Amino acid sequence: MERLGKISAFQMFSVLLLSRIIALFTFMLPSASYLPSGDRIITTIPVIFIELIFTAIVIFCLKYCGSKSIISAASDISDIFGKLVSVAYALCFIWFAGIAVSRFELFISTVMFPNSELYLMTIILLSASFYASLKGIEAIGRASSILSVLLGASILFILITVSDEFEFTNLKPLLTQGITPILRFAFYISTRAVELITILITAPLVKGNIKRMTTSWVIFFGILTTLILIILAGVTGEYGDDQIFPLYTLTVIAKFGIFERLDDIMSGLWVLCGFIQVSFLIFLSCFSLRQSMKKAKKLPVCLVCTLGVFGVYLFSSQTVTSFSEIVASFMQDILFVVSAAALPLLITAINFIRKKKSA
Amino acid sequence: MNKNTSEEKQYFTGDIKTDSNAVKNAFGGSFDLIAREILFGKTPIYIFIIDGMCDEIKIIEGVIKPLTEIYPETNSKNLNEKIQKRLFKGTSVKLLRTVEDAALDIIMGNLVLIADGETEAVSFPLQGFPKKSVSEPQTEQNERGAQEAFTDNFKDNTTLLRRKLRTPNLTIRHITLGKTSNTPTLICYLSDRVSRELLDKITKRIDKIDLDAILGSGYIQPFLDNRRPSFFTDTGITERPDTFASMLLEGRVGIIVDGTPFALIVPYLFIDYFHAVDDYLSSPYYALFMRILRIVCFIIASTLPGTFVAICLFHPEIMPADIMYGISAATSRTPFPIMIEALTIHFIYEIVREAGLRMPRSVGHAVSIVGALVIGDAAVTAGLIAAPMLIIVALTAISSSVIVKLHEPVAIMRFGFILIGGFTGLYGIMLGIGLMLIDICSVSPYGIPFSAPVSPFVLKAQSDVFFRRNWTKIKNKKLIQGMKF
Repeated sequence: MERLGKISAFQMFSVLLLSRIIALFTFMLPSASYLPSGDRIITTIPVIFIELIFTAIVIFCLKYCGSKSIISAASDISDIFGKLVSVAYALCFIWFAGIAVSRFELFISTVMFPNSELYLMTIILLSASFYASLKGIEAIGRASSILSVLLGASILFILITVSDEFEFTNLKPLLTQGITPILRFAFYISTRAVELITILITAPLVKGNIKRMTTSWVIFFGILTTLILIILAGVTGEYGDDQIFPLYTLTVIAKFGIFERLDDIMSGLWVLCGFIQVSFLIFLSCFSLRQSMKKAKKLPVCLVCTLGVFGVYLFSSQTVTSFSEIVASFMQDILFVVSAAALPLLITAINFIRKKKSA
Repeated sequence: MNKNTSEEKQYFTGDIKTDSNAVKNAFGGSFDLIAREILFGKTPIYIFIIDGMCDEIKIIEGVIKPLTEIYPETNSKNLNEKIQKRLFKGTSVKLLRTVEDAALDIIMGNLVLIADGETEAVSFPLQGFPKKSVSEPQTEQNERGAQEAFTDNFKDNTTLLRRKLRTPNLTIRHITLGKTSNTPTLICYLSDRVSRELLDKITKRIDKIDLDAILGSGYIQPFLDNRRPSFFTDTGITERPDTFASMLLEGRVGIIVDGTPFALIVPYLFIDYFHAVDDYLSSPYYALFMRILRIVCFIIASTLPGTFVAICLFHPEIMPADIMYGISAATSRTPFPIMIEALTIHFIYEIVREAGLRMPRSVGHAVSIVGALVIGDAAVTAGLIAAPMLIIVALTAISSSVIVKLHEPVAIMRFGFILIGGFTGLYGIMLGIGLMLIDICSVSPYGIPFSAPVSPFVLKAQSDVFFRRNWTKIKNKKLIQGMKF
């Protein structure tokens, strides 16, 4: 029997942190359709609240399921239902992984290799992620705990080096467009937090208090986001409103000693973090799929999932505009709400009714 | 314990002619098998030794003289008992019932004696073969530590170890490996510190070794390693008795193989590659500095040439303009693309290194001079190689000398990183580092993560990871308190 690797709550925290930072700060929709950078800072407060609501739902479902994943809880209802849920979550992770690869390639093609053919780069990234996902959650968790320290230190370093450029006047005016766009943007950001969905699946793989870890992750990330957005708004002002790679913009402005810009150092770390995110999502899609196909070997399932991710990438990475439309689409909101709240609540409710009936 | 026992064994019959012929036949007429018939009283006896494997003085003084001069009138009753009592009183003589066991003992350098009418042979431990004396370590030099290394002889090595750990808890188990080589191998551990589970796992793996010959510890290493394709081995190698002893103190298991001064240690963690004996003998802040230096050297040795190629080809904007101008001016004058240049020079460097290692020491210096002159000076002057590239190679070579234990993976990875950097720039380099990180993090030799105690972070073990705590602050005698091996 295959040994089920487990990771500590801190390692899980690191994976989620890297994944979220990459997802949020690699690519941000131009604020022309949303908010000026000053108002984005306020957004983090409702974001924390919305994410805490979804976290509460996730924790409630996990608590009711015991230490099982949501797929195992669905399998308790019926085998076929369990299989359907496992396939649904696998597809969901493949989709999010494909979007992550597209987002990542958009960043790479813009800042690192503006004139190069990127299919090769994508294939290399997916091959590396495929290998990493085969190594399992332990390898990904351990690597990400090291990387999170490096990333944290480099973000702090960049924030310090750009602090000379900070202007308080850039933070004003606030609430220029009222509260509704802020709430809409907050919902947009919250419903891209695929990490909350991953907790539903990875719960049995985590040692320690997963509920406390998830809550602290949401709050910590909220604070970190606020800090980055304040510095971004204070340093870039209106220029920052149109930047689709916000953190990268900061690194371009940053200077240290003889180094006129620090973007390549940051891009390097960004590549590592993106690699971890894609590996984690491929691992999860493979893990979910194998819950319904117990006899299936890891390698072919993982390969199929990686090919699926490549397919989503091909579909979603046509142009910046088409990618923006896909990312901002209402379908993304629905996908998140169904995966993170509706389906887990439904499974929990059915299990609850079944238990009551049998009692 | 000898795991290579044969099903069909030939027992001694008590007839001296038959038995002595059987022993002779077991060696197939080897010229160095010495078989002498002498009389003990009136009973004919045979002694067997391998020429050059026994101490001749001990044989004459301890066997021949007592048999022929001191007890010439001995009768033939209870001969074996008399031999045991009269010869080498106090030494651990063995009684052997089969020809195969007798042959094995003779190979080990023992003297085996067969007496007429006895169905058991007597074996005396009279090894006395020429061996290398204890010398300085060749691969693990140090400033302030002990200047002695393990030798090729396993018994000398146990003495060296016992002198470091004077405790009865030091258990040394003897096994014989290799069907043909019958190599004595020792499993060493501190019985009060080792985990039984770990010991069982290691013993099980060693029991599975089914090789014809074990001619060095490298033969056993793959059996102890986690079975996976990886650049890094999770079995440590040391020729230093003090390093070996310190590892045993941490609850690890050591394996000494006869015929090699390089002992094995399991489990071995990635961070151990960056620790050295001097770290424990110098001040803690200096140890911290040296450990960071070694880690930086590892990164330089494996990724610097690849990163240099990537920067020159894809990301020249990283470098300050003045430096980049100098590099561009130098590289533009050479005929080869920079990636080919980097690959070629590193390949030549490895050739020079290999030549320096294999050639007789007397001509080793000549190789160094030719390498330095031909590659260094002449190639740059002829415009074949850019000077900045040569600086990178030199820095890489010096850095890899700092982390000798990691030379094998680093040498291979360096070529990989040059290729990746040449084709995909820093993007590929970072992905390569990511894969290396995953590779390091994916292994758990004997249940202990190879990347521990950094990830997973073990707080208690931090007293000896990057920073080494001062000896006065360590109250518990175990240095690494948090890691349970």
